[in-house]
Amino acid sequence: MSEALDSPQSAAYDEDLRLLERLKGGDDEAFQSLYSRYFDKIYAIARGILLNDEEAADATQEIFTLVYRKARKFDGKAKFSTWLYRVAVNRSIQEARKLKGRRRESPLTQEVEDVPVEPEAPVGPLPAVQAAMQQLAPDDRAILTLFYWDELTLNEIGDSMGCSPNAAKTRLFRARERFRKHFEEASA
Amino acid sequence: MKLEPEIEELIWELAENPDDIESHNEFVRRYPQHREALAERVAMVKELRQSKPEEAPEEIFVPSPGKPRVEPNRFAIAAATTIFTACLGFAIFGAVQLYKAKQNDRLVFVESSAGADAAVSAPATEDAASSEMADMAAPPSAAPADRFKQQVNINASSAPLSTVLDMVARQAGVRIDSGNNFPNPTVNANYTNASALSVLQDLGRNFGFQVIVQTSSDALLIANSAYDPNAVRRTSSGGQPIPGGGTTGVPPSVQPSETDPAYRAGDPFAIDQGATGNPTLPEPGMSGPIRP
Repeated sequence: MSEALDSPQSAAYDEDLRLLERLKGGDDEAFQSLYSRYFDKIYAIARGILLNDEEAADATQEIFTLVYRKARKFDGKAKFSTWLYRVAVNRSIQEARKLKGRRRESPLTQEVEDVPVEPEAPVGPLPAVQAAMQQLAPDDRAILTLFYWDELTLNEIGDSMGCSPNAAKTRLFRARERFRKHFEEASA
Repeated sequence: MKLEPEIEELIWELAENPDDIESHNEFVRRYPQHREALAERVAMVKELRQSKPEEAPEEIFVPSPGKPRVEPNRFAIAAATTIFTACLGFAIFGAVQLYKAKQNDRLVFVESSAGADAAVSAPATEDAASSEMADMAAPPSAAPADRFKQQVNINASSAPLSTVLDMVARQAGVRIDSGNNFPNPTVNANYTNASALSVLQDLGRNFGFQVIVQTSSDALLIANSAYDPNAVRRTSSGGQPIPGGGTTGVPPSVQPSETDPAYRAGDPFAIDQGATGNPTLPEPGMSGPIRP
């Protein structure tokens, strides 16, 4: 057997295929295994893009529900993980855009009600990082999340975001420059 | 301070690989002026990586496949389409048949225009002010084959010919069609217990039309002027001359004899004149049209 097939990534790929075959055969426990394998990564993607724990947890459940419904039609031409990341990124970006619209409307209500809000204790990302990430567009947050938190390669990021590795590199460079600008502002 | 793109990319590369001490030292040795920028970038990337959210407690995933999707059955779709098409065709066919049946039930008379048969209608319209009709017959009860033998009673005074024909049709239960330019003069008619066919033939003799019995319950009336421009009015059963000519204006003097073989040979409706060539005589009790 070749070296490539013996690598951990190849083994994980084969394990994904086996689980998918079982799932197509009606074995729901196979999906539970896939869920356990990828929950952390999908949650990290959703958390990085949405910047909110509860919304990230909800989005993660939605992503896996979507994948559960579509998994039986997955043709196996691409890696299951790549397809899963792509679903996660798209769904999270979509949700982040919805939330952005809702947040724009919410201040009016708060002004009218004049409800005192207790300051929240910083949870998760450090304040400067959180502030800088909030200034970024969901697409920029997605690529930074995939690169720094999920530690995907540029090839994997390209597949997950539907672009070439070179395009992913360019987008990453621009995203982190914007992040640096906002980070420095927040740190000053 | 804005750095050159190459330096910027190099700093990012080093910041993302903080464990590569040799590369860091080499960068500081070459670019001592960017030492502080490198340190800040390393700290920023370290902070960004440390900001990775803690792993959330894994929730139990409960598959919710949602509403089961019903796959369309092609055979069922084809069968439903066929049944629907058949029903639609049957409905259209039924509607057409119903429409035709209604059309057949309706008597069609072509109203003659005023003065179309001036010679006949002129005297009748003189006292057309009062119109009195009596329809004394019972509803038709004879079998279709005997409908033209059905006894009818007609009593019409100063009524249009079309109305009289309508009375005959209703009492006998027959359909009477007339051709184009059919005369419609005002007439007085009084028939008692006369067969429908004899009434029609008598009217035809007096007002210039032929009766063609097509089926046991259908008759076609054709004005003499419609098939023979030289047609003339025939005499009534009582021998009373009828001013003829109608729109053709043929004088009564050119009227051929009823027994003339040449006339009969050219008369497509000779069958209505009886086997002897004589006009069908009115039946007992039939007084014929009363000319005003």
